Amino acid sequence: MTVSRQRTSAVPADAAPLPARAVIEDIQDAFRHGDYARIAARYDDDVDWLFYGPPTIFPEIGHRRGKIAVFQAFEALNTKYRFDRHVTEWLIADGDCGASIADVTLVQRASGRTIRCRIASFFRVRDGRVVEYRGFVDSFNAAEQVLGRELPV
Amino acid sequence: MAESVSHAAVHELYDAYERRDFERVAAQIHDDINWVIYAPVSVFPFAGPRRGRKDVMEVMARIAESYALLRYKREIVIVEDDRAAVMSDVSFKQRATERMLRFRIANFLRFQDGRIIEFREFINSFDVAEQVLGHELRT
Repeated sequence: MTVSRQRTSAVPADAAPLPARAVIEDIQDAFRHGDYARIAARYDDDVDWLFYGPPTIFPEIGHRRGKIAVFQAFEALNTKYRFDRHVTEWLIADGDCGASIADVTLVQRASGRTIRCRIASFFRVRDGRVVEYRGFVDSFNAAEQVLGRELPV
Repeated sequence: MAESVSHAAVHELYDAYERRDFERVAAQIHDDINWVIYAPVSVFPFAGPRRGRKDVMEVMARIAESYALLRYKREIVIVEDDRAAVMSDVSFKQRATERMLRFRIANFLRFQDGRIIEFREFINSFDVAEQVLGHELRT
């Protein structure tokens, strides 16, 4: 997957900006179809992106600034995991912000382990593009699923 | 069409929680609430699913017993129809150890008859567990 700094043609330059709900729905639909060019078109070049999780288990996530860095993270995740299922359970939007809960299943390519988790997302949208993202998962549980064992406490 | 909840009602609920007015909070909780905090019960015994106001108020009491709330700053509040989502920057002090905990918390709420009928809470549970335990988790 390669993302250039040029805006993709998925969103015409003269199109009216979509509201937050439509932007999030488009991203989630594109994600389900593996259409990363369409996702890229919905992220601002300077997006402030943060998915909370332990860097020891998930070095691909954490804080990223800019679309290129975010898509490098997506690429790294795709190298390690195959996304099998993404079902949006909640989606609410209000002005330029939206939030969702997705039921996600992925497969760790190296081990074949199936990881199932719920991902909570908060988006801030400007001019039809995501300028800020915050992602949450029960990272303790996700880490145990990735490691294939319980974490000692 | 789903009934709507107002921004003011959501802020009022969080204001009550912040000032530890649990009577006021309880009045906003539906008798049959479906509640989940996604976090490990081995570290947070009050986490996991609960059903009904009584059990949920017990959860809040257990959290308050173990942790003193220092700050609950709402950063994003989204309200649409009968639902709300709130992301906050929170600080607690673990009473037993005086450890300070700071993390972001994400809440999703659905209202029915003016009260919360569904609640989901997310935190970076790996990081918060390390803060609570006072050491890094061995992976």
